Amino acid sequence: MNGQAMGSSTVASTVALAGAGDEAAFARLVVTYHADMARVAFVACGDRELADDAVQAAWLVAWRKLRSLRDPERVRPWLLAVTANEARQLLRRRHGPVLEIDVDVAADRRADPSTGVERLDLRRALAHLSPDDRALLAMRYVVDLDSDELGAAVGTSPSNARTRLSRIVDRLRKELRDG
Amino acid sequence: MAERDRFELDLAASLRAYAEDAPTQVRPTELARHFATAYPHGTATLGPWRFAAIPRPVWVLLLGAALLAALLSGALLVGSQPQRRLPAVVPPVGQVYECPPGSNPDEPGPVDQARPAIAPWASAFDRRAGRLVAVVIAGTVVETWTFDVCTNTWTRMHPDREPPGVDLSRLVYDVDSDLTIGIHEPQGPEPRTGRVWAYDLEADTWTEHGVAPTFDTGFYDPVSGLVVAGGQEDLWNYDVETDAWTPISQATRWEGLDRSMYVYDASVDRIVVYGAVERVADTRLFDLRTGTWSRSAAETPFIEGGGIWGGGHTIMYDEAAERTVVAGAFQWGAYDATADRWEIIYERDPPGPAVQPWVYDPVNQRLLVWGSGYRDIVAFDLVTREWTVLLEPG
Repeated sequence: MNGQAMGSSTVASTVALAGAGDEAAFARLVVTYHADMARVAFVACGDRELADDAVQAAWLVAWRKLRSLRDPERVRPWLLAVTANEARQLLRRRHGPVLEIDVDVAADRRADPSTGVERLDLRRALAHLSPDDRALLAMRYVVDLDSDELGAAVGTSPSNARTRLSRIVDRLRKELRDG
Repeated sequence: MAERDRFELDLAASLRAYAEDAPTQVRPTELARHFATAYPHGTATLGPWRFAAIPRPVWVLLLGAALLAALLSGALLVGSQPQRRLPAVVPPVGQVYECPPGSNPDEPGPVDQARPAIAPWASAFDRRAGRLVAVVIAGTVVETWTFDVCTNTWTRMHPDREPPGVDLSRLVYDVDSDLTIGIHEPQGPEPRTGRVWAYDLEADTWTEHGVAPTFDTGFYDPVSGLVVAGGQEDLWNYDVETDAWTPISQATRWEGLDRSMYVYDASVDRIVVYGAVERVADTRLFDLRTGTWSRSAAETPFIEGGGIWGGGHTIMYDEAAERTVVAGAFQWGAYDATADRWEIIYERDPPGPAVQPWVYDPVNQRLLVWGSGYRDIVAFDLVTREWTVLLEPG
């Protein structure tokens, strides 16, 4: 379930209620957006426990700051951006500036039958990216944010977001195809 | 978003499969209950609406402490004013257009005018024409637009040919040749070779120049009359008239600054480089005349809203205020290089749709700023701190 499951007026009213401290409304937001946030956090962190912590921290930020969100319809990219920020901060605190994604060779030496891209290769390629860039990839390709939402999530124009994404994809293309 | 190619489809499928391991389980009701209990709304902070509940003696103590703190901080602030570290230099930057008599640059342009459908990819200010030149890239379609800052109107230009689509670098207006320069970085496998493109506004023509050794443009250097281009790995002088490139000695690598950006600061005749690693920002200066680097002693603020990676910042030099401005979507900082001092000049809280300056208007001596919809434009005067609406959202 994701943000598209709620109509825009429902999103706005739910965000307003949750921002005012309505537990039921807040729980509805959690139901709606938690999975997407967890996926983005997991791709950014490469670690289930860290991802879980990052999403919990992001929900706490949301609980405290939802009332100050001026455009409730942007709640989904906003939550994802908060998640990505929390993931980055957690990684930095626990691993320092350099992240080594733990690559389990036995478990990952399997190809996705639909793509032929081995998970091991994908994880190694992801490990060469920054957490923010991994989060951006996840926002685009895992939870399907469009350009406007990506721009809103990362605090830049849609065209800047597209440029950045394009460069990350080019880098992965080179690494996964030629690597 | 452009249509995905085979690789992107494979990548998306693989990422989605990988993300299936994400910890998506949650107990929404219990989470909400926990937060509501542990962090009840309205009690997390001591806002002014709660002051009435404070007993009178405590009020007096609080006010006294606040007064003492204000006096101390004021004394510290005054005492810590840095001395001017570098001599002020204002090199000539060429002729600047003047708005014709009778025009009113502060009057919003017609709201029903044609305008770019999306935010321009790159833009530069043509000083002689008094117009912003902007390249809009929508998918594979490239459009050239100009924005007249005397009438606040967009005009779609119709040159015979235009640069290919992505990736075009940021644009630089070259005063000497009266051309706006960009570098096109072709897509495809390495090694790639960039090409210089030059736009003549008066003739409304784009011309393809020669091969470029870099994919990034920087700024026009009013002392040498050359365009400075390149980035962290290399820096070049580019002579538009002769289509010749010359490496700039000692300018390579500003180590330790990730995702840095730079601009020419005329107040000190230096390149100002702003960068950050994670959220720790730094300012460095490069003297083009002597090929020497110096490091700012100022505490450089991390400017919020540059995107989660920092790539969404813009940087420009405000000639009237004599400040280098670094802007994110939520926060702008201004650097006074002559005093070696940073100042936060604007903050948006909470984060929302971006409002960000993207170019300096030398005609009216103010920053042109995107409105929240990327279709409306406002101006911000850094000297007077005044806002002016130039174009309402259409």
